[in-house]
Amino acid sequence: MTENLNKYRENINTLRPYFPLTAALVISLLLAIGVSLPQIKNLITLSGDNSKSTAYFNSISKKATKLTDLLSLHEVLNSNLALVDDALPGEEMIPEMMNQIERISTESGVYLKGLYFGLKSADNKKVTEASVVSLQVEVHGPYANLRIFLENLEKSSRLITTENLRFDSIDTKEEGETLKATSTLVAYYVSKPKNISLSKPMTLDLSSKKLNETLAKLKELKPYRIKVETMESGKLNPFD
Amino acid sequence: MPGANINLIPRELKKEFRVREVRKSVNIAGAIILGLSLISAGSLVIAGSMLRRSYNDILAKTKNEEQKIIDMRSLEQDADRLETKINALQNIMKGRKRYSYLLRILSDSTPEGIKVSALTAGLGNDITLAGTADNYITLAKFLLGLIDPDLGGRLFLSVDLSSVSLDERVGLARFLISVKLKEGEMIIK
Repeated sequence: MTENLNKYRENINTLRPYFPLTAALVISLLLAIGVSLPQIKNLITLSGDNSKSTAYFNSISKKATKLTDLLSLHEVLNSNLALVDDALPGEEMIPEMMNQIERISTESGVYLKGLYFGLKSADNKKVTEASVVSLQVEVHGPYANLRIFLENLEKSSRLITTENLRFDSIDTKEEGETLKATSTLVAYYVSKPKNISLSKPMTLDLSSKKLNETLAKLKELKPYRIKVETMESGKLNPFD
Repeated sequence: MPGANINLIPRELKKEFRVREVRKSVNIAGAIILGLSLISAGSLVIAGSMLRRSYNDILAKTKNEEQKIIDMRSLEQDADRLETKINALQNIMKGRKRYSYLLRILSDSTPEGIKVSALTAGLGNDITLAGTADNYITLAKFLLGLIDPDLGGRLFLSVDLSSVSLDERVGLARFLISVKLKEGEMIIK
């Protein structure tokens, strides 16, 4: 027993000089596992988040600067908006189109015989950001006036596209020998925009050539502004 | 040579010295390893905290910029509306046809003695004309006028006489003509 104890002490004494190294290695290992590795992991994550946040910050900072610059050009923006709103109004202005076409036909000296609305986007047509509404129009009148009618439609500040055209010579009791023109017209509208996300970049450039060319073309068009007022309603018998 | 092989230090002592040296080296290595571990762990902690501080800083700045944008929300909506509509308008304007121009060119190319009773123009580049002519010579004149560079040729590319028949009751030649339009000529510039 004593012999064993002595042997054990002797072994301990032999190993004792290596204790500091072993302790240093153990502490280093613990530091690596407990501190360094989690920190490295944390650094990688943080560095990724940081670069993402920096990129996002840069983009919204750019957007905020652009908006601040635009603030001083608010009047220009509003006058440009008035032009484009005339050409491409909102959905609520669809009924107004009837009155506009009626006014154009009166001004052109043709008789508006019929106007038939197609369903909104019935054929799922969409011109990029705009939706379309089609309508069939039938007008009667002399050739020269029908030409003026088409010209006025083309020059109307509300953009209307003539899709097709059919002319027929007719003879009616009321009008005598005249021309009947039938055509499919397409008008456009833009639905109200949804909320704009903060991260959506501001790409509007009021000085861009593209924008100014379009505005210049719009300025040449003739406005037919007719405001459809809502009036008091409540008839007891609508069939009366 | 006398004294060359004489070893004055006892062998045990020499061994003891070597052992001590090894122990010393081992302790130094341990200290270095520990020191390096502490330095690297400390550096990583410091770098982490600096990065965190910079991250928080960016977050705070971002919030500030976001608030600025929110305050200018209506201006942003106006700008977005203008841009959306301008883009849409450009697409719409690209493809609008001038039917009034077609009618002008047609009237310029129609001689006396020709009466067009029907015209059909669709989405493509073809139009059809139906009508009556006083005689075949007038009809031939009309066909030539439709492709004359100074008259119909400004807009029409080619003309095909689809049918012609003499209506003996009225003494007129009834015709049906197919006209091909020049590509892009009718588009509003």
